[in-house]
Order: sequence, then structure tokens, then C-alpha cells
Amino acid sequence: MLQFRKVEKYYGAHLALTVPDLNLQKGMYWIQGENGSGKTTFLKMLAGLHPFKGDIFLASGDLGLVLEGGASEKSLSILKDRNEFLKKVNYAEAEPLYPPFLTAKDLVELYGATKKADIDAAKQQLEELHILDAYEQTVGTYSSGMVKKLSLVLAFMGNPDWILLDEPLITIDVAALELVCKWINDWHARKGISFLISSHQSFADGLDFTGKLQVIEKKLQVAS
Amino acid sequence: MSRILLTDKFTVTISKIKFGGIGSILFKNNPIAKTLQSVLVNHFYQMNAGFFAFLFFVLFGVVKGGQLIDYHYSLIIAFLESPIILAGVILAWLLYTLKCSNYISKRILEPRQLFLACLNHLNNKQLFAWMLFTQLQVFAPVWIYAAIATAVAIHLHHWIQAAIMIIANLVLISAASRWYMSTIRHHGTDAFLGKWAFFDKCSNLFGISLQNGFVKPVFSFALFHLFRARKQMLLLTKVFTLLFLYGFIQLYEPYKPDPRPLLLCFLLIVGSHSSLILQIRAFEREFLPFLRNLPVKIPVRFLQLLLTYALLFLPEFIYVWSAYPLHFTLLEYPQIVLMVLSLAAFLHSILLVYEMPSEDYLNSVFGMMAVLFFVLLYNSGILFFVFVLLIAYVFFHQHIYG
Repeated sequence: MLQFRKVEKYYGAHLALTVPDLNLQKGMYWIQGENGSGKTTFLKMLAGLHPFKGDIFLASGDLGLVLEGGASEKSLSILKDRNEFLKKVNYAEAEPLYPPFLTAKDLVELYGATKKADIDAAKQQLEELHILDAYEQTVGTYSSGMVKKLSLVLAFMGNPDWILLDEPLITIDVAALELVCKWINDWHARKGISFLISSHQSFADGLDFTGKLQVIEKKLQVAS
Repeated sequence: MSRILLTDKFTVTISKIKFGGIGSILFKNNPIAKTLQSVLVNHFYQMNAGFFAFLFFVLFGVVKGGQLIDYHYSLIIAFLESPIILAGVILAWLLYTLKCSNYISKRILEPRQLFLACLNHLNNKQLFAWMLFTQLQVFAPVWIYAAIATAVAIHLHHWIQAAIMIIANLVLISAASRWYMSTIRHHGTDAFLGKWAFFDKCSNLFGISLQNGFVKPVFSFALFHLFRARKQMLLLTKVFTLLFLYGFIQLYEPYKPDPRPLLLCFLLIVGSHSSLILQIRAFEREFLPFLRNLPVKIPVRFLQLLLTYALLFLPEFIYVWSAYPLHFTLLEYPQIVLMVLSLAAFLHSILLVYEMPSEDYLNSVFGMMAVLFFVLLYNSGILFFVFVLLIAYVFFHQHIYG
């Protein structure tokens, strides 16, 4: 379970996003909102990329016994237990940008070492997406679709409780799109991994969402 | 003291003068002039202000004010009367041309400067004239000095040398202008001199040789970036700092080992690397946000930063051994290394605290250098730099995640 406590994001003096005190049970969520509404900001805060006011807690399994007005017992705070928190929360950006001189191998090995992930499993996913041939090529030689596929594979590495996917369907081809939807469904069903996915595109029948979140007037809300 | 003040004053005014104020005065209300001035010329001087400050110190700060004219007159006479020195000077001008040309053409090709493609509606003569306008400004340090040297040469009837300097400048300026023009016309697909991109070939070979099974560690990322995207800046900084260190070690002979003059040298060397530190921070901001999602402890991240700078300053750390044991003792070497690493980490950390424009950053650099000049004179010892490193770590710890 994810717990948000008095979360606010400012850019300078400008309030960009507020998240009310919210407990998000395990599941698969679709984040909706207009361009510039704050969906990416929300995901980046949760992934540790953006600083913010307040705190976010992660309670895994059945440990999420909610204390009154505060965090769960035995939950991880992104502020106080950042490293443990980030081992459990993976993120793929909408428009990933990596240093062009790095290879997929460099990145997979880096994620493998830091997220304690299985390198062979990642290579298997790269093969399924038909980009394993470029494993030792620099990212600078990749097309934008290949970079996107690589970023999605990196987001699936390790033992996350939550995977955050920002616009996962843009740039990639139809076959890859279907494969990624299959991975999401499988990992959610078999491994109990939760997903927060922002997308403007309709998933049609591709994904079975637990619920929807909306960003309206700079405020994140659970959609009815 | 007067030298430090002179250098400080130079930094404060460098981005105001930019050697190219003339351009903005002559074409005050022309939108093309204003755009080229702000996007290309000013940016070039801002990004290279550390290099220019170092060059300024070497050319104008090493002699007393009253001897400055005699000093430069002697320098000019030296290269007018020696063909070898004159060849060396022209080679330095060529290197500087490569530095500006590489920087400006890369800047034109940045996705954010794609709007410069609108200059394609100009005809060839007009576009060349505007590129000449740009090159004359970024090349001003060379052609102004060359003009003075040419006047001296004509005065002393060194006609051939005067002609060589004029031709060299005309060729270098027009070749660079042509390069920019071609970059805008073809947007990097068939750039002028592209097939002679020696440095690109070198760095590509370097890249290929490191691909065979070698996984790049995080601390090497910034250096790969410098090798790939800022190679001229890196090369020139290293050439100048190593020549400076060589000159100091050869010319200065202390009566007994005293690390202070050498520490002052390294203070200037760190200062001359300030632009590279700025580049490393800009690279981190643009390309490495994804690292924040990785569960890596802050002390480990700080250690990676120190390793990056240890590698960056490795040539100086190795070369300084040629000054042993005349200039320093074995026990003083760690102080030199610690000073360099702590100052580099400190400069990097203040860029985390304040996302400051390069002008403010360079003012901070020279403020720091002015203070440290006196601290070093009183031989503060190794503990002072342990303290600086601690401050850098505190800044880093507080601001690494924004």
C-alpha cells in the first residue's frame, strides 16, 4: 500500500500539485489528466526524482496497518528510508533520456547491481522486444522506440512492489505494445506487483485496472 | 593581491564585455544579431569563462602592471624573430579555432537551437556574413592580439611575418565561418570539415575499444561525456594546465621543499577546470536524473563524485611527481590531492545548492580562489581541506535530491 501524507509539489512559489492524505491499496491504477496537469510530476515524486513537501510511505504485504493520521506500522518512508523505498518502486519515464555513450548492457548491469536484479531475465525481455541484438551498442545509435523499450525493461528489473509507467505506450510499435500489456497483466496477477500508469491512450481491453486516479485543478483524486 | 583583484574584476566583467560588445552595439536592433549574440556568442564566453580567466591570468597576471607592455612586446618580438615560435603561435590559434568551431557548431546542432534553421532563408552571402559576425566575436581574443602583433611587425619591417599573421587569421576566421554556415545549411548531415573530424574519430575509436565487455562505472560517466561532447574544452584545459605546471616546475627552484607555491599552482588549476565542473553538472542535470531512482546511498554517490574528479585531475596528479623532491615532500603529496578533490567537490556541490547561471558561479569560483590564496599563504595544513571536504559533503548530502 502507498500512503501519501500532506504531499505538495512547488516549482518556486508556484504550487504544481497537491495529493490529499491518501492510502492506495495494491492494484493497477490508471492516472488520467490533461497535458501539464501534473501526472508526470506525481510519478517523479514517487520515484524519488523530484523533491516535495510531505511524505510518502510504502507498506508491503500485510504490514500496512494504518495508524491514525499517520503512516503504517513498519512502512518505509521515501524521506527516511529512501534506499529501501526505491528498491520497491521502479519507474519508466515518458521520454527516457540516457547518456548516448552508454550501452544497454551498461544500464542493465547498473540496474542489476543496484536493484539486485536478474540480468538474464532482463535480457530475455529485451529479446522479446527484439532489441537484444543492440545490447552492446550505444544508446545514441538507438531509435526513440528502442530507447523507450529499454526503459520499460529497466523498470521491470529487480523485486519491485510498485512499477510506475509514464506513458508506456507512446513511441513503441503495436507488437511491443501488446507485449508490454501482457507483462503488466502477468506481473500483477502472478507476482502481485502494483502498477501506476499514466496514459492519454485508451488501453481498450488490454489492462484490467483496479481504479483510476485523476489530476484535476492541481489536485490528485481517486476517480469515481 | 593586485593580480587576484585583477582576475576577479575580469570575471565580473567578462560576460558584459564578451569581446563581442562591438557586435551588439553595431547591430543593436537587428533580431539576427541579437539572436546570434545571445545564443552563440554569449553562451560561448559564459561556458568558457574559466578558461579565459586562466588565460588572462597567464597572459596578464604573471607580471607586475608596470612591466605588462614590455612583457608582451618581448613576447611579440620573440615570435616575430623565431619562425618556430611563430609556428607554435599559429598552432595555438588553430587549436583555439577548433575549440570555438566545435563548440559553436555543436551548439547549432542542439535540439533546442533547431530554430536557427530559419537562417536558411538567407542567401549564401548573407548567411556567411552573419557567421563571420559570430566568428569575429568568438575569435576576438586571437585577432585583437594578432592585430597588435601585426602592427608591431609592420613597425619593425617584418613584412613576411605580418603577412603570415594576417593570412592565418583570415583563413582561420573564414574557414570557421564557412563551417558554421555549412552546419546550418545541412544541420550536421554533411557539415564542412565533417570528414576531418579528427577528434570525433579518436573518441569513436576510444568508445569502440571500451565497448568490448567493459561495463562503464557510474563515476566514469561524466568523463565519457567530456571526451565525447566537450573534447576541445577538455584538451585545451589540460594542455594549458600541464604547460602551466611544466613552466612553474622548470622555472621556479625553491631553496627547500615548500608546498605553498605548488598549492597555489593547483588552486589555479582547479580554477581553470571550473568550466569543466560546470559542464559535468549540466550533464548530470540533463542526462542522469534516472540515477535518482536507483537505491544508492549518499556516501557512495559522494565517493563516486570524488572518483570522477580524481580521474579528471589524474594527469596533473601524475605530472606533479616531476617536481618531487624539490618542491614537496612525500607527506605533502596527500595535501595536494586532497586540496584538489575537496575544492572540485565543493564547486560541484555549490552547483547542487544553487542552480546558478555561469556568471554567478564563476564569481563564486574567483571569490573562493581569492580567499584560498591567503589561506594557502599561511599554510593551513591538510586539516583545512578535510574541513572543505566535509562542507562539500554536507552540501551534497542536503541537496543531491533537490
